[in-house]
Amino acid sequence: MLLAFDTSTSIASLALVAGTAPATADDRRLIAELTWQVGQRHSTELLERIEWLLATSRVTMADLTGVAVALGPGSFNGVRVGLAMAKSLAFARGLPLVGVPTLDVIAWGHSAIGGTICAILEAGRGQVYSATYDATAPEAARWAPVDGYAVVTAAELAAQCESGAYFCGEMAPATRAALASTLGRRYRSAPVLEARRASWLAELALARIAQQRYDEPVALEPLYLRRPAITTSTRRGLPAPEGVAEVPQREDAPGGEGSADALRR
Amino acid sequence: MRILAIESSCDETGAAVIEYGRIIRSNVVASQASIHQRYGGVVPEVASRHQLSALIPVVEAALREASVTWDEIDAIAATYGPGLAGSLLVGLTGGKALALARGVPFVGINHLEAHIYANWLRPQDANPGAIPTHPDTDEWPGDPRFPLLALVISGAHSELVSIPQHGRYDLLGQTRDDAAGEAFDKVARVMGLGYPGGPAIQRAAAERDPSRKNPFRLPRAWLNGTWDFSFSGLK
Ligand SMILES: [Zn+2]
Repeated sequence: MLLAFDTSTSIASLALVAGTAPATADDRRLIAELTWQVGQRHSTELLERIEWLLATSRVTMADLTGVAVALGPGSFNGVRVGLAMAKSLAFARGLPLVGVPTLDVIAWGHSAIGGTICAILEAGRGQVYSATYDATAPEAARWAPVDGYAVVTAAELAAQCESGAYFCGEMAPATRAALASTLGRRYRSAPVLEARRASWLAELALARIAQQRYDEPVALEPLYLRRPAITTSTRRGLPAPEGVAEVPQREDAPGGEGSADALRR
Repeated sequence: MRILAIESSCDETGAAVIEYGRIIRSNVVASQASIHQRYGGVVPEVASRHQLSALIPVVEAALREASVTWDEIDAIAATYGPGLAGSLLVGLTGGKALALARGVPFVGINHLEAHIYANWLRPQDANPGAIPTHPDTDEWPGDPRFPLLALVISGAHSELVSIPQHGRYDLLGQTRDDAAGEAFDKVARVMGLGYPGGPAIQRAAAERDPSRKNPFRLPRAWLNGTWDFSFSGLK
């Protein structure tokens, strides 16, 4: 039983899939799947819903034979919650762990369309995360972008895909409009409500598990694609550079209970 | 009772195996201080990224150094705050996931309460004296005796707390502006001494001219008539 989850954006998805030794694909079966608007509540809601999905499927931790997680790009904190969860589950139970880039997951879900698939996630600051895939003969074990992962504007992406593509993923209306206006009839896209599904992630992960291509819980890293925003000051004695907290800020805790009311902020 | 405890509230990732809430079987810390040094402060996103990289290696090392297996861990604890949100998320999510995976209880711990309870800890090679009949709940020889007065001082906190019994805290006073550690960092930055400020200022102070007594006049941090402090006047 494979547990797969993706907390890359404000949409999260979680799936439980039977059959982790798919030399024959016949025993593969979706047990349960949940896709929901998680907002910024990745940490609390992912754990609650994993427990809920296992309980309602009458599956225990001992039944799990693998863990799959989406590596990003996306929300930095969202991706970290997914990886902290996946690494910890895999490490504490000695389970095979597989991390899959989120854009690979999105494109794989639409791979049956064929031709050129372009997977997109909004990156903020007027840019998108993108990767293009050749879906002429899609194969889960070899599913990878033609030319890596990029952070570009919609206009730059339209120029790169000038011969047309099938666009999928989370696109803001402005991104859709920019691509459609430049590419005209060469712009084809997935339905607006088509969300990422953790069962797509599970399929890619199962292909890797079949080949015993696992990731190490101690070493698996997110795919951030962006460096942390830091503007360092070149002069001494200036106020703290942008993005630098002078000290740990008194931010509210992301959930949890304690008896120390007097110490709480 | 043996607890695996995880702390990730700022720029250090810590994991420890503690017995009876007192005996340190292992205590592993991965520090990012040298990374943040070049920015003159903790960059939250950089800290969060390093938290995730360090999480499993630190937990693995804590279990190894304590020579315990997962079956010998009775509960898992992690700091839930206060601290940097992105950093906290990593240890908190990891701790909850480890507890779920091992089928043991998870306990979220207040960061400042943890600072206070550090006073109950002792190294495992220290002579424990006679171990009480109920080692998890009885008082041990050498434990702090109530009522207690605790001064919590850190990079983000300066609090004076009265503790009449376990788990009860009466806040007597606190800083009205900067925390003590924050004041050190800010002053060190203004003086170009580097980060973290405390050790930097200590080093600079060691190079003073010993023939001059009290060469600087500094304002007092104590606010007369209250239990509160103010450090902002220092810069
Ligand atoms: Zn602290």
